[in-house]
Amino acid sequence: MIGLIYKDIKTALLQYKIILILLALYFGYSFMKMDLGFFTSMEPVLTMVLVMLTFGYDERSGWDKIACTIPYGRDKIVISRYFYSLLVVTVLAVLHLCVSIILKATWAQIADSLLLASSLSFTFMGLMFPVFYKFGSEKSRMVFLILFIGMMLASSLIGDGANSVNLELFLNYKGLWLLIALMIFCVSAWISCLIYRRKQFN
Amino acid sequence: MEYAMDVQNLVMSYPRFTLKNVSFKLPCGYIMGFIGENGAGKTTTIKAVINLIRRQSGDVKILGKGIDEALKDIAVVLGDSSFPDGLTPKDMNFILRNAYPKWNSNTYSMYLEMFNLDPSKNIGTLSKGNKVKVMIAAALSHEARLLVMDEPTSGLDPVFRSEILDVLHEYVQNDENSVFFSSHIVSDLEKISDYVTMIHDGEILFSMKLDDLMNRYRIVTLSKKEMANVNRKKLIGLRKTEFGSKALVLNGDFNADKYALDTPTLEQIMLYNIKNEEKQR
Repeated sequence: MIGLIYKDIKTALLQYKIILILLALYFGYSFMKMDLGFFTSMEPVLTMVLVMLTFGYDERSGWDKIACTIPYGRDKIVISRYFYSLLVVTVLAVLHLCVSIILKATWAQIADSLLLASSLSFTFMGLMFPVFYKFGSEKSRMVFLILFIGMMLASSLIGDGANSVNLELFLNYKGLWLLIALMIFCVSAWISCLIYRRKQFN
Repeated sequence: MEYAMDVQNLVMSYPRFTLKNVSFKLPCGYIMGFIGENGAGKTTTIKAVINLIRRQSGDVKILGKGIDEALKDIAVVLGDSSFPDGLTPKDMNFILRNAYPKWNSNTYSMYLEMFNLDPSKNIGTLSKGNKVKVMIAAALSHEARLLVMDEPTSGLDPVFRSEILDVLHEYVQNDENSVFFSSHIVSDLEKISDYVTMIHDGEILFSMKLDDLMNRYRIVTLSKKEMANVNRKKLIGLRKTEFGSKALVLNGDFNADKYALDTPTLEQIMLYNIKNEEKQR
């Protein structure tokens, strides 16, 4: 499984220039505003970009077909992708921490923003991974876009006004949200394994 | 006799295509060429054998085992797939040594060197031929007893193809290793195959030793006058020429003293058989 995670890391790093530009933009904007909010909200998007890259490259080269003929077992191929995404969340969390310290955020702010970003990342990935495994990365991109806009709209609708996101709803139950997000992520891994076991490579 | 591949009554049904009770056996230590025109069912058969698609019915044994248990003892090279872009052959060494219990990094390096491949070069920047070479190098580096290859040489130049054929020939010299090699470049298969299986429209037309197959048929050249007198039922596929006709016939059906008979090539056997099948529909 280490080999598969290594493969995903190497594949994602192919687009290191784009990743660095995105990070610089997010960091620059947050630094200009001296506000962690933007960085926090874009972190799940960056996580998804890094994950979608690996799905895309695998699909383009036909690696999935080859991987299924190597004695990893289909479940391990799926689980390794979940471990890779955990690694992405962890690395971005460390980066988040560094940015927070530079922006002189309080520990409470850091904890809240980290929990929010991680919860969103796990939820996005948890919902999207089975879709990726079922329909492939090309078709799933549109689903991701719809999901992203949908979640933004939903948070606006339950907010104070039409355009504001009600963070209090999250902050009051932040532990619970993270727990729910992690549960979604775990159930997603199980569903993805089921999908991938039956996947046909026509 | 131990079989590297034993496929029995494989059935796959799609709206416009069906694999009809595909059966064949590849004894250990031999190379089997799998021929057929585009769309005949070669790739579908291979995918069903290695479980990339679920078979509706039929039984497949690889080295006497089910495919899942046999995966560590086989190597698969698919012409339409490659190792991911962005990785290098050196990266693949790290990735695959964690997957195969018998992975041998020295053998892998030896093959990379033999194929003139730079271990540090991004696979994405390699030509199609070199991508295939990396996969073949990997396939030969974990003591696999069966090599399954689906159209690995299509679209590649003759020099490269010849190089691969030499490697495959060397690979089966220990009498234990076997190769199942599909290609529509029949001349390649004719050079190295011990057995040939032909599929047409999802159906196996024949599966036998190449020598027996070549001995089974003859090409008869018939003048217009001779054509009028022959039993047409004995002609397997017929091709009209300027001076008469040529047909594939069973060896012995036509007297060599009376008719002009030639030994056919594998390609001719394939083409005439396809013609014959289409005529009978």
